Amino acid sequence: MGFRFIHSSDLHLGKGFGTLPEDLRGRLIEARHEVLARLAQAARDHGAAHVLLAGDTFDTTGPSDQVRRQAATAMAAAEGIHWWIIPGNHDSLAGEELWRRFADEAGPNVHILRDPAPVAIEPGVHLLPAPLPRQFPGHDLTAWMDDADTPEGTIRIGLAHGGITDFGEDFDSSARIAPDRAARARLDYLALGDWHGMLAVGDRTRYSGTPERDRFRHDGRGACLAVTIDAPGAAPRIEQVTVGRFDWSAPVLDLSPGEDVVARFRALLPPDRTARRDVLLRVVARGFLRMAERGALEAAARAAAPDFAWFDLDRAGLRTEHEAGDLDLIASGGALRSAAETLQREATDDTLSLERQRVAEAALNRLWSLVQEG
Amino acid sequence: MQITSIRLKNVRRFVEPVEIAGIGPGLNVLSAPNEAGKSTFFDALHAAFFAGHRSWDRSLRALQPRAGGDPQVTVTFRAGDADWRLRKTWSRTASHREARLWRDGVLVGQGEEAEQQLSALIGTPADGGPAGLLWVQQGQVELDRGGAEQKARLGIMESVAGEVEAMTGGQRMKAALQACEAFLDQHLTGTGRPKKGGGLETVTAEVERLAARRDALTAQVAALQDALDARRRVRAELQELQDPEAEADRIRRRQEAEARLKKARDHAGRIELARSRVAELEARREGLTGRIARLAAAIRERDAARLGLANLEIAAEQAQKDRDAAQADRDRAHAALTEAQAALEAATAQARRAMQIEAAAGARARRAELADRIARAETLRRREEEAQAAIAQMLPDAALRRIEEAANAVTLAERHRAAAAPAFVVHYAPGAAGRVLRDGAAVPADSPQPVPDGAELELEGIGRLAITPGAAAEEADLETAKQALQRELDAAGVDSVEAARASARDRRAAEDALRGIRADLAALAPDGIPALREQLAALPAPVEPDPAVPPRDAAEAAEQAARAARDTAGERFAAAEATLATARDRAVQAETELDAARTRLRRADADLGDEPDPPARLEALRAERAALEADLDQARAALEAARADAPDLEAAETAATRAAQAAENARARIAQLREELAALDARITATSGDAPEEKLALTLEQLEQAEARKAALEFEIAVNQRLRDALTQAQSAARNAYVEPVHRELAPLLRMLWPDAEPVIDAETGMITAITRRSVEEEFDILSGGTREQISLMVRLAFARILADRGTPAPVILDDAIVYTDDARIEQMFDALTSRARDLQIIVLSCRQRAFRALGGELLRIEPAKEAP
Repeated sequence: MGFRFIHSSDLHLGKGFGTLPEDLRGRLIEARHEVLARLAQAARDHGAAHVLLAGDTFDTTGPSDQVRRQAATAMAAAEGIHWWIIPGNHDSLAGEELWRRFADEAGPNVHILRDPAPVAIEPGVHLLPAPLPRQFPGHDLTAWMDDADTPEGTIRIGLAHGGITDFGEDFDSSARIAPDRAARARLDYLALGDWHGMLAVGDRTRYSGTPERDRFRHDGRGACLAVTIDAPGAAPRIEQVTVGRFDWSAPVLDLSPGEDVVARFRALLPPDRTARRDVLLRVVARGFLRMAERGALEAAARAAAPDFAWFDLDRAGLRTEHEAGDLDLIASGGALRSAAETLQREATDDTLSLERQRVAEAALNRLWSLVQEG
Repeated sequence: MQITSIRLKNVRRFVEPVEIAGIGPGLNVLSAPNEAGKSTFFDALHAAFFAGHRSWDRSLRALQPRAGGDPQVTVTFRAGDADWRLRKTWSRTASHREARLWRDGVLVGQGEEAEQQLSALIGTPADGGPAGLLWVQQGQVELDRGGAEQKARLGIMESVAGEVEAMTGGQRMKAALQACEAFLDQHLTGTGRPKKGGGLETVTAEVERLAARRDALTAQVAALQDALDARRRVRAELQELQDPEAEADRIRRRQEAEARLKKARDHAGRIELARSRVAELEARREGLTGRIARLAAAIRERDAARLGLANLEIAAEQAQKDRDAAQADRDRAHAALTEAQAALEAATAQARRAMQIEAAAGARARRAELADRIARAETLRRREEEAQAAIAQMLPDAALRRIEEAANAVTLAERHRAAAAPAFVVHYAPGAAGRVLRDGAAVPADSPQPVPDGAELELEGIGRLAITPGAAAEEADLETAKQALQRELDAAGVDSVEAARASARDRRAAEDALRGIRADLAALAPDGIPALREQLAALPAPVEPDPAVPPRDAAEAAEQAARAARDTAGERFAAAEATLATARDRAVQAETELDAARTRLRRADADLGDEPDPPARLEALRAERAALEADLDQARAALEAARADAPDLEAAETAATRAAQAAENARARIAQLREELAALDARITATSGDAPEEKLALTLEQLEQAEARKAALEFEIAVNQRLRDALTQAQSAARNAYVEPVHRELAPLLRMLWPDAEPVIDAETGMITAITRRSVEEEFDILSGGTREQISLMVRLAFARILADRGTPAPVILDDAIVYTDDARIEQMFDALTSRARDLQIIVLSCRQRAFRALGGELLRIEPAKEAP
């Protein structure tokens, strides 16, 4: 059997989730902490003694004492597991206090890799780390690996944090990692962090993704990678292991009038209602609906929402079509009808600002709702 | 539009098809007991026209039979020139829902298309009017959501409510408006500002709070970052300073610099010695040069002083001579001047004398003229006195006037007497003419002849005839007047009136002469004779002519010449005086210069002192200086040589100081940096313990979320404001469009019940609030139930007329609308209905079978449907 390890990254411990409700924040924060134990368990489950964390273990260079101390304690408590950590852009070495105190608090099984130099982590296995000295390092920190010598016949594993392409969000293009670094530096595997979803770059390079999701960009629950390298030069065997608790999902619901919108909406919901408690669901509704259809969709959304850890119907891309028949539902004549028609004209009057159109459209929908409620 | 039949299937109790057929154009009455299904027909009809077939709301669900089934309503009606059939089926199942519309038996629309055609038929809502039908349901209380006080009123107004609802939006409008207002009231004040404690204010405050926290945390993070950067720099510098190699290097540099400095200082000492020698020699040379110069100068000065003194002595002597000559010349000029002055004075005296003699000659003639004038004036004065005396003796004008008056009285009295005197007329007989004589003359014939004093006539041939008048009063008057005249003449001293007149004439001539004398005298002596005498006395005393004195012209010419001579002598004297002054000044100046030259010579001698042979001494000094120059050249060469190979002392000093300072600075800097490091460590530990970065990240997210909430709320507020405004405007427009016509139509209807009734319609609600009867306004709410019911019905009929007038006639459907009206009044109601039914379709649903029998109209029945349409 070759060398086996767990590759993970982007734990973002200490992330506060300030945009979410207070009670949910607590649950999400707790889940992030618990993922350390789940990573250790995944390692044990796969017979691995090493967990490689490819940056952004902490959300900032200044996490609270509680977050830092408890992370150190949890790692130290993972008996038989070695944690190999490089600082990422969120928790770069500029956070001197963080790493100084964390080093003091963590046990001997926790290794903070501060220097770009080969480290033997097991006989015949060398780790080539590329820690971030600061948030924006300004150059490809993995470049040194090309010329780094390790004894003949050892397994070379690169550990780095950063984009090989533009990931958005403060992407430092000057620090772009060469996509063919694994080949150039004769690496058996290059473990990368920064991208929060799993991403394969050739045979030997992977982004593990975050083990616990923190945003809607990547659907599903977080995972880590169990990597096995049978021998120097052998192709790594890679297995994705789900360890995350919360499922962040943002399906798009493209709508057009005449459809059974409620059925379409319900089809998006996870069938297992008990699982919904750990699901954050944002349904991105787009397209056009008639007023009654929109009312039905809203009602269905209201009915479904309490099942979920968090639920949101994103209506930004949703417009309401009003036809004469729709207005009949408000009033077939008289002042109410007249007001409704005024609002409808305004909602479709392209000479008005988009903002005014949207306000008028919403006002018309509101009128419809008020009349229906009556 | 006119409804002709209604057919129901699966509607409430009517699972099997039933219908009301044969509905006529005018008044129709369906009179049936309670629970016969009238209201079911009513609701079904309402649904057919106003509920879309795709709806499945509460009102439609209520149509479903208990056993289930899809409610279906079929209505036939006439509209325009066509017969229409409308069938609608509602269902829980979307696919079962259906709407179909036939025109003259031909299917013209299905589904949405049928709905649209129906909308067009029953009146386009765009005109803002109530669509299609006018009705009232039994107890349509769900219209009422306007609060308790509205509720009671609407209970009665329910029959109007449908129409008002259609017109102004009614309760649904009100409810929508209230919902908007209620929402806005939670967030905004009356003036549209965020309300204290309201949602908007709360979220705004939250955003501000978070933004402030973000700023504070950002500053804290920046401060921490700065501290970390500073510590990094401090550590790096400290490490650099404390590096042992660096320390050894600093010591070595210091020692080398000090050695270089010592060497430079020694050399500098040598240069200083050489420089001192040069300076000493230069000073000595300067001293000698000075002495030589002074001695040479003293010798030159003495020689020059001697020569100058000799010249000046000659000049002084000459100046003395010049002064003396000028003095003599001046004295001569002075004597000439004195002489010329004397001659001038003599000539001036002569001229004055000549002038006096000439003036005296002028005075003589004047004196003679004055003496002559005085003599003539004296003569005139004597003549004046004589004339005055003569005038005094003559008759004055007053006395003459009195005499003239007395004379006039006499004349008058004579006339009176003559008038009163007897007269005679002679009428001669033929041939006797001239034979009566008076005083020898023939008395003229046929003319009266007065004889105041009597007369004596000779009658030729007859004799004499004496006529004697008697003594009359006029005679006495004449005598009195004559006596008065005589008295005046005596008083005036004249004999007769003529004498008096002559005397008065003489006096006026004498007065004229006196005025002539006085005028002459005034011309001769205007100021009187004494003034003339004074003028004479004022004349200068007579001077006797002197043959020795020349005439005035000559004397003045002589004086002029003497003055010119004197002026010439004066000028000459002045010139001599000036020359003398100049000569004197020159002499004094020469004396002064002489004194100065003597002093200079004395000083030059003194400067040379007791030097026995100054020129020889001068030569000796010059030789001594030449020897000194040679020594100086040697010393200078030595100095230049020392300077040429001197190290840079200043640079060496600077280098040594710098090396010493560098070592000292390094020591001080290390101490300072250690202190700084300790302070930074403490600060970083304290700050990072607060986890500001984590808090900042959290705060940024919370702020983002709060801002999103705020934006959503602001949008919601904008939506509610827009909706409120749209509703308010539509309501206002509808009221304007309907209230006035309602009033116009309603008034004649009300008068069918109460002859002088006048409706009062509230512009706000569109409802009738009161009626005026017999000039008394009665609130609608306090009217009896029956009256309110009647008014409600009239209102509906008025609406129907308005719609008919607009070309969209709508059936009026009354569902148990006349409940409270008594039997007497109901007849009048029926009259009103019947009169309106001439041009309106009215469908009356009632349970009051007996009362409504009198209404007449087409009687309707609910019957099982004959065949499926």
